[in-house]
Parts: sequence; structure tokens; C-alpha cells
Amino acid sequence: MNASAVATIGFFEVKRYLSDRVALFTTVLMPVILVLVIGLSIGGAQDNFAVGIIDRDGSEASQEFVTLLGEANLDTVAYDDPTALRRDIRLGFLSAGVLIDPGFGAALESADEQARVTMNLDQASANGSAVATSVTAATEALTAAPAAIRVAVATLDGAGQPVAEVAGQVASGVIADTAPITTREVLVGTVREEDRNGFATAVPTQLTLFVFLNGMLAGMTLVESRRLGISRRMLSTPTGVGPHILGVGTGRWILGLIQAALLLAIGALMFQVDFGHWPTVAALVLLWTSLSAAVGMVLGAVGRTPDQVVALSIPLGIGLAMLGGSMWPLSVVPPFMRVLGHLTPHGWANDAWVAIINDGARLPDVATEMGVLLAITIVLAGLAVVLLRRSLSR
Amino acid sequence: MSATQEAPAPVGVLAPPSVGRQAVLIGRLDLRRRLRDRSIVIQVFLAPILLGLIVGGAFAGGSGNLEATIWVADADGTDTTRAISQTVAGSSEDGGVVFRAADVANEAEAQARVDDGTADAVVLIPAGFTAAVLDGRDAELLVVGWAGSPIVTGVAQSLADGIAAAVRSQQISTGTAVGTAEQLSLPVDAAALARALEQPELIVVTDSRMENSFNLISFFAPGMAMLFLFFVMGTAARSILTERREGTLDRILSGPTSPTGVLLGKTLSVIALGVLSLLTVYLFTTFAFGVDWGDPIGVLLIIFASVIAIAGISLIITGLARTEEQAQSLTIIGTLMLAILGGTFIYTASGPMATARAFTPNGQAAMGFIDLAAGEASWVAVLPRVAVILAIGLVTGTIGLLAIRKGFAR
Repeated sequence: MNASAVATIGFFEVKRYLSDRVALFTTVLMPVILVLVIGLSIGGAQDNFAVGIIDRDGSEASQEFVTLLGEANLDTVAYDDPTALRRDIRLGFLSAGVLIDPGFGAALESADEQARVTMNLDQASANGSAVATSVTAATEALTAAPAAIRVAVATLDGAGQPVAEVAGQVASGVIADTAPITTREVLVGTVREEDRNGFATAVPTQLTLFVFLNGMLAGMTLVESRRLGISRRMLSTPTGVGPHILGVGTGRWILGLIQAALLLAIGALMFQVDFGHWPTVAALVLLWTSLSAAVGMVLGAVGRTPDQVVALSIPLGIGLAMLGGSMWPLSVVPPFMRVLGHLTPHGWANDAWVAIINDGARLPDVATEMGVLLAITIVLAGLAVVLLRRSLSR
Repeated sequence: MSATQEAPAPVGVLAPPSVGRQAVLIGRLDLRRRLRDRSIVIQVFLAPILLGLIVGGAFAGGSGNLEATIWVADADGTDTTRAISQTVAGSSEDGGVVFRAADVANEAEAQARVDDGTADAVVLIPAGFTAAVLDGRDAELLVVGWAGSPIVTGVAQSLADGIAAAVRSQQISTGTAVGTAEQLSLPVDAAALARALEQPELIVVTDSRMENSFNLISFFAPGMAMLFLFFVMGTAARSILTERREGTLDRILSGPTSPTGVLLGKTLSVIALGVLSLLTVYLFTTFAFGVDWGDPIGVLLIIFASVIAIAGISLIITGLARTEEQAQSLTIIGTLMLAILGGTFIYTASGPMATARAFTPNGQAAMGFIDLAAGEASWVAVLPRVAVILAIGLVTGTIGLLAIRKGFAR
């Protein structure tokens, strides 16, 4: 086979593609925008539970309670409307809602009334006990003084004596004199890159999605050249149709590499993502771009019109990305969806990325994932050759 | 006007139909042709349902729950600390974050348990803790957590803070009772004090569970349907440019058909296709998968308004484009930008993304669907959103139609 013909065809394929503004948008700008948006919106591991607060009391005590909740590892968000609060709990934007009833402050100041707080949770939520620990910490801290007064009054049944008044003064002195009980935090292990930096997830997942999607769309070029008769014309030239197919494939493969390199560069240089062992990263990128180019060749063989390739590529590209963990991590989905996800190449590629970036995996550590991707690539490439030979000789 | 012109048309010659009738005829033909195109059927009916199902499957069964086991280890072994650790261990429910009383001798062992993954975090009450508290010395609780899961460590921290606050609160109460008794020269009855310390909590926290029939399918499926509708409607609007280039438009216009009839007909056809697509997604997910979209009138209003908006945007793109290629390019770029800004791919938009969402018709529609499905909203409550979406559609559509009509004159 004529290597220089393949290179020339590949070069012009890249050049022609890069002169197209829409192509530039979908290949370059769109993945970059999505990486930015997703990277900035996920921003590493969640630190606190988000809790919506409705303060129906508005007293000094209730405001202090809200402050204490914030200090007790909750991200508090103020709400006025209970419907909006419930909506955001149902949607999962909030882990819980805390409603402070009217009369909260007055009850704490009274002799024997109880102040009331309602914790609103989703029926299916198991976060109740976790959020409750924070609420308990806040209530305990808030009620130290009034509880002390009530204990004094209950203990010293001094009829006619101003027990509550004296106890109030004594309590403030006791509180000031009582040594605080501190908690010391010791952390074990290292922070995984994906927990430290949202871009450590955004870059590889969007890379997987878009390189594959653009690989699929490459099928359009082949369909077009078949329709225009370029392929048949190539059959009549000394170059032959083989180098033509290979050239187009090479062009798309190079475009995939450019796309991947750009996203990795943005992650590494702009957002300081530590991608781990670079030779392993390079091997994965080479494999993924080859696989994506092979998919494009298959679609190019089976598609009848360029519009048909687009109509198939976009739903399929998005669907496979969703199944394979490019839209959300497979670690959050139920087991059967995880199995389904591994019927897509995306599932294996994303597993490899997670291992490389977070666990410092090298080539032997991700041999299974790479092996599966290589097998898929070989099958697709073989299929593409058979189908294209048949379709071009038509 | 002469009498001959008013006479009925001779038998065998059809009178030109009214503009409305023309539009319906052209629209019906156009729609029938589109529904025969397999790739359109895939994009507007199949793809949104399948993608919606993938999302539904992925998030079935409360995946938003944090799961972790936090150990409460009592190395002090006094009555007080034993009571605390037993109370805490009994306070958690099944699933989610579970608190367990466990034996851990010291900090090194606690670290080892977190390191080997036996526990996700450990709250350790160290030996000598009670004695330190009683003597008024500085007392300390230890929290050992995993660096990679700050949220679990945070829960353990809150647990420790709660224990610390409860212990300290008891100490303050005792001190206050004794101090008050001294000032008032009253005797302190130890039994009365112990009883008083058992008094009910000052703040009652009620746990209220609410029903949740919200299914993410009702957020993602219409979003995906709208994304593909943008593509398909773009193609449909482009067909006007194609007909102009290929000369078939001139042929149609040389007959009694008016340009308005042609434009209206084509617009009606894409609107019908759009409504059909979103309705299919709505009815299919409702009846086949029991997804609750909320108030049906509200859903229908948003569907109708969204289709008008998508048609309007397609028309303005077609009207402003000079060639079919340009129209196609603008459609792809416009669609993907709207999808990103409107939050089709990202469910939990916050900050500037949430603001951007409000300025796109698909974003407004998504928020409307959320209001109906999760926010107990009635159709009246979503009327403002419907109005915004419709306004976007009518303004862009009118400008687009005028621009295309002007193109007809060329």
C-alpha cells in the first residue's frame, strides 16, 4: 500500500475539516465549553450537605441556630417558600429542609415550653441520620444556657426565691469558666485527584464523549465521497480505494488526537489536573482515537446519506456516553446499569481513566480495560474494511 | 366587476382554495413526507425516549444517598461515655450513614481501621475523657476520617461536636444548679439534680418524610426531545431554501398558491411534528413507565409553547441564512449552544449556569417541567414561563417568516 498517498489523503482530510467553521465548533469549542462548565460546576468532592432553611420565627435565637447549623458542617440555603423547598429536596438539590417554627425563640426563653424544628426529608432519603448529627450539634450548642437555668429551677424548688433570675446570671459565669471540649480531626490517606479537582473528571469524560462522537460523524465524509463518485474514481487511479479509505481514517484519527491533546492540555495547564502516568495516558488516547475512527468507518460504510449518519451519530453518541459513564460516574448507578455500561466502549475507557488519574495506574494495571478496547477496535476496523469493500464495489 | 367574473367556475376547473386551506394541504403533505423518513422518526420519537430511559435507569432508587459506616469507639469506658456511644449507635437508620459502637483502643488503631476501609470514619472517645471533663481540664474527642471523603468526615465531626456539646451542656447545667444553690443558700438534693438533668430536650426535632414521585426521566426526556427537534426543524425549515434552489418553489408559486400559504403550510407541518414528538415522549413515559409529569394542562402548555419557540428559532435561522449550508451550520451551532446554556446535559445547574438557563426557551421549559413534576405547581403557576417561551417563538418566528418572504420576492 502506498504510504505517502495515505498520508496525503489524511493531511487534506484534516486541512479540509479544519477550514469548516461548524466542524471547528463541534470539535474544538463545544468540548472545551462543556469541560469548563462541567469542571466548574462539579468542582471536586462534595464537602457538606446542602440544607434549605425556612426561619418562620425570625428571632435572635433562630438566627443563631441557623449560624450554628452552618458551623455544624451544613451548607445552609435560606428559603421563604415551603413549596420551593420541597421541590428542591425532591430534585435532590437539597439533602434536607429545616423548618424553624414560629415561637422558637420565645420557647427557649420560657420556663417549660419546647421549641420546635421540623426536618424535611425525601421519603427515600437515607441521609436523615447524617443531617441529624449536625442539627443535634447545633441544638446542643444553642440550648446550653436555657437548659442550665431549667435544671437549676427543677433542682432547687425554692418557693418564693428568684431561682431562674439568679440561675441566669450564674449560668453565664459557668459557661465562661467551663473548659471547651474540642474535637481533633486526623485525616488518613490521600485525596484522590477527582475529589480534589472537578476537571480531573470533566476532561476525560468529555474527551471520551467528543472524540467518539466526532469519529462517528467522520462517516459523513465517506458517505459523501461515495455519493459523489470520488471512491469509484479512486478505484480507477493507481492509488486505489484502499489508501483512500485508510487516508480518510487517518485524517479522522489525527483530528481525534488533536481534540484529545487540546482537552488534556487545558486540564493540565489551565486547571492543574494531575493526569498521572503520561505514557499510559498516551496509550489510552491512541487506542480511543483509533477505536473512534474505526466506528466512523463502519458508519461510513452502512450510511446511505450524510444526514442519516448525523441522525444516527448524535443519539448514539450521547446514549453510549450516558450508559458508559461520560455524563455521570458509573459508581453512582445501580448494578444492572453498571453492567450495561460495560457493554459500551465508553465504560471501559472511563474505568481506565479513573484508574490512571486517581489510583496512579500504569499500563499493566489497566491491561484488562486496554485489552477490551483493543479488541473492540480490531473488530470494528475489520468490519469497516469488509463493509467498505462491499459498498465501494457497488 | 363584471358579471362574467362572478359566475361560478366552469365544471372541471377548481377554484383556488383559500390561504388557510392551502396551508393545511401543504402542511399535511409535508408532514406525511417527513414521517416516512426513518432518520426523522429515530430523532424525534425513538432517541428522546431511549435516552430518557437510560437516565431513568441510572438514577433509579435513591442514588443520592451517602453511604458510609462511622464507628463510635469508647476507649474511656465510663458509665457516661458508654451511655453516649450506645445512644449514638442506636440513632441511625438502615442504609445511608450508619453509626456503630465499636472497640478501638487508641488513635493508631482508629487510623488503621479507616486506612484499611473497615470504617469510613471513627469518632474516638479517648481514655481519661470523663475524668478530664469532671476535673475541668481540657478534654478532647478524636475524629479520624478519610482524606478523600470530606463529607463523611464532616458527618463524623458533627457527631463528635454533638457529643461534646451534650457533655458540656450537662456540666454547665450541674455547675449552674450548684452555683445558684450556693448564692441562694439552698440545699442541693443529688437525686433532684439527677432527675432534673433527665428533663426533656428544649428543642424538639421532628423528622418529616415527604412523598416524591419525581423521576429524572421527566427532566431529561423532554430536554433530549427538544434538542433533536431543533435539528429536525432546522432541516424542515431548510427545505424552503432547497425548494427555492431546485426551482420547485417557483413551480408551486406559479399556480394559484400564495407564498403565505406555502410558508404557513410548512410551518404548520413542523409544529405538528414537534407537538407529536413531545406528546409521544410524554404519553409513552407516563403510561409505559409510570413517570409523573405533574399537571397535564401545564405539560401540554409547555409542550406547545416550546414547539412554537423551536419553530421560531428555526425560521429565523433559515431567514437569515443565505445558503443551505449556512443554515445547517447555524442550526447545529445554535442548537448545541442552546442545549449547553439551557442545561439539557447538566441537571444541577448553579451560579451563572442557572441564570443562563432562564434566557433560553429549552431552559425555561425544563424549569417549567421541574415546577410541575417536583414543585406541586399547577398550570397557572407555569403560565409566566409559557409566556416567555411563546414570546421567544413568536418574535423569532415573525422575523424569520418576514425574512423568508422577502427571499421569495428575489
